[in-house]
Amino acid sequence: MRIGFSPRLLVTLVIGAIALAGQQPQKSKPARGRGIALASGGTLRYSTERNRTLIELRPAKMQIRLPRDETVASASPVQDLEVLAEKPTGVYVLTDRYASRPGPMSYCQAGQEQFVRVLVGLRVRSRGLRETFSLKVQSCRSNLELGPAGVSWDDASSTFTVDGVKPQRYRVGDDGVVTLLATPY
Amino acid sequence: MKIISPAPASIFRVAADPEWPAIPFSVGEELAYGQQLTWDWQIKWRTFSKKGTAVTTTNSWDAKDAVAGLGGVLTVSVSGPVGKASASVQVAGTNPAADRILAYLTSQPGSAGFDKILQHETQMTHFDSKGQPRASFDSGFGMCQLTIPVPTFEQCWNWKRNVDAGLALYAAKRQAAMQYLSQKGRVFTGDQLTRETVARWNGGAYHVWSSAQNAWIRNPAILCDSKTGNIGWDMTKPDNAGKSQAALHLRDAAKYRRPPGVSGCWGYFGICYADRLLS
Repeated sequence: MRIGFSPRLLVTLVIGAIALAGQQPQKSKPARGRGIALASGGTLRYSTERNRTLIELRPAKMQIRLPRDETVASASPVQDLEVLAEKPTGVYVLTDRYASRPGPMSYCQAGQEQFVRVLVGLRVRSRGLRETFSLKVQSCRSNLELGPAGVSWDDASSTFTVDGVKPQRYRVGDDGVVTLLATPY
Repeated sequence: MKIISPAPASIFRVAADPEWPAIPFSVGEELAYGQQLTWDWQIKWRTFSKKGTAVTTTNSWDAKDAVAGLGGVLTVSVSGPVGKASASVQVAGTNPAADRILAYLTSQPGSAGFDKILQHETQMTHFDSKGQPRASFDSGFGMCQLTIPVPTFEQCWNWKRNVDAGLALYAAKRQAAMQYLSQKGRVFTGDQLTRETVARWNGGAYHVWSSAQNAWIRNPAILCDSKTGNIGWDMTKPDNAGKSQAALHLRDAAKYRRPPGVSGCWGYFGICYADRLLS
């Protein structure tokens, strides 16, 4: 038996399927991504939500969605995320890296964009995370080079150093406030 | 009043130099002593436009200087004591020959290697078959496919200005390459500088310092897939170590259609891009 093909039926089915899909309730997506075991116990999980990076601390369930910038490839997954330091006061120093947004003529198609961030856990009220500091440390699109030492943390002085053309050192306070040390490195 | 030349919808071609052609407009009526004609003109292409006004005491006007560096549809409206008239013509481009482009690049400092990028990416063509600046899907225009910073009207139509803008991006990479290669007083060759620059154009460094050889060497950790433009493997990754290019290609080639994932063993490498273009 041959089955006749009706373009009108096909269009009706497609429109119906689209309409049904539009009526589906919005389900909250389970937290996915990768995790890093924290020194204090628990886990820092990270994933990509559209053009933001979702950071979640478990089991505390503190979350923050970190913005990127226009140099990062649209919806780029986090290529790498490292927790540089974790202070007892609930301050986290981390660095996150992404693929560059490619430009014309293969410009920065293989490039990378990297940030350093400081997050503070808000234990009292919202149980969320707050970003107190963000710095772009490597960027193909912006011609920002990171030296071979990268971003390093010194626990004794509670500082991190960004190895660039002019290495710079930043102190991270117990409250998450970051200060650029004025003394030339 | 009537514009008697040029004929409506005439096409004027910019020579490959690039040299803008004479675009003479004239009306049939003669002007008496002391009379003037006002020529309002506008040239438009895509989202770009420019307009102006010229006044003559004769019955003709040449739009050449007004539209120099620009192209698209030129509309001229003329008004005077005996009435008004308007006409539209097209200004289209002509691709320069490769040797002309190479000669121009040679005259620009720090351009070594940029010709290879142009050849690889756009085959050194600035205009399409209709004489319009070539455009990419993301509104990149001309030979250098300029997108950000957003090109000017002239950078879209004048291939030399387009190349200048591309070279400005390239110069920043060359500067970074020089800084990298000259660190700690180390020396490098012109070829190393070109490779370092082209690699950084695509992303990442080309060389690493070899203490044993006391020289810059190509990063030995990266193996390139010679069948692609810039795909390769980091051979320090356990999943790649010890495998041949053929074996890795066989394993990963089917995944090349999508960008490399985070845990993917293959990736895009500026080193491979430079090797591909400069080999």
